[in-house]
Amino acid sequence: MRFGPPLEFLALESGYFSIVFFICLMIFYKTREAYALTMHSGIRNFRNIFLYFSMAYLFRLFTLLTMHSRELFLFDAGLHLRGVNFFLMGYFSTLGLLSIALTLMSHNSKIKHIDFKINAIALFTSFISIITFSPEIIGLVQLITMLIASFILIKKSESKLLTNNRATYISLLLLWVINLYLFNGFVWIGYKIPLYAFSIIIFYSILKRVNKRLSDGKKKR
Amino acid sequence: MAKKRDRLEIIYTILSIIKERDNSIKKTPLLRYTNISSQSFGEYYNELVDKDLIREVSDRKGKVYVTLTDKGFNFLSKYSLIRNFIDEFEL
Repeated sequence: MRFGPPLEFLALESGYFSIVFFICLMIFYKTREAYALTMHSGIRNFRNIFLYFSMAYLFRLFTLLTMHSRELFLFDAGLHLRGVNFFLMGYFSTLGLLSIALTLMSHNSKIKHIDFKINAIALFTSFISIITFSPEIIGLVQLITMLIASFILIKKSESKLLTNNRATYISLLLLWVINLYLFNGFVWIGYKIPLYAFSIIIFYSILKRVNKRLSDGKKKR
Repeated sequence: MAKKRDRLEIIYTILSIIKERDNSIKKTPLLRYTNISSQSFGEYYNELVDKDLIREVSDRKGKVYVTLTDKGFNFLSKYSLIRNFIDEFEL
């Protein structure tokens, strides 16, 4: 069942994507010097979260537009284009989620060949999504990935389990998974707006904290 | 007992020592002042050279001294910001 005209859908999704994409890239950009100077693995994982999420949201928008191209633009974008966008959305979002997992575990885990492993998981998840052509499957696989990461975190954690930062990171994960489940059809705009607003608030709060921490102390001589 | 220094702290220590010695110190005294094993020091030293945070210069007599690069100075000036950032986000 369709709710609302396609134009509202297009405006909302484009606006949401633009804001999140911009914020993610700003976080990635503002942390570049810190990483360049230190080559700190924790900073690298942190930056990767937002780089991968920016790509994931980009291909999420492309996927939505191609899925509804007939209603929005009066032509069919074609199965292959939808498939490619879907694949890339799954790939980058899984990389983003695994980067969150690495950030949560960074003090407790030294995993060998980590880049190879997370890319392999991301490719596998995306392959599943192509075969099933179902965002719910991606969401389920990604949720399982995070549950496993959380289990490892609980087992290995020596300090306080749920800090503000971990709650923020887990919020990013859950918001993404919920986003996927709102994927199909023109869901009523009233359900989407509060979720998208909350999501933007989370991303923006992170950007604000990054900006504060890495811009502080620029004392005038 | 003093808390074990992490990688970033050790790098900061090495670079600080070089700076405090008027940006010119030989390798052996630098090892002594950093208070880490010679094997670890060797690994850190090579890493700092590879990442262009320090460089070696020779005087007329061929004695080799270690100095900071511009990037090394930048690291020292930004260290507390970066450390606060890492602590803030629990990285």
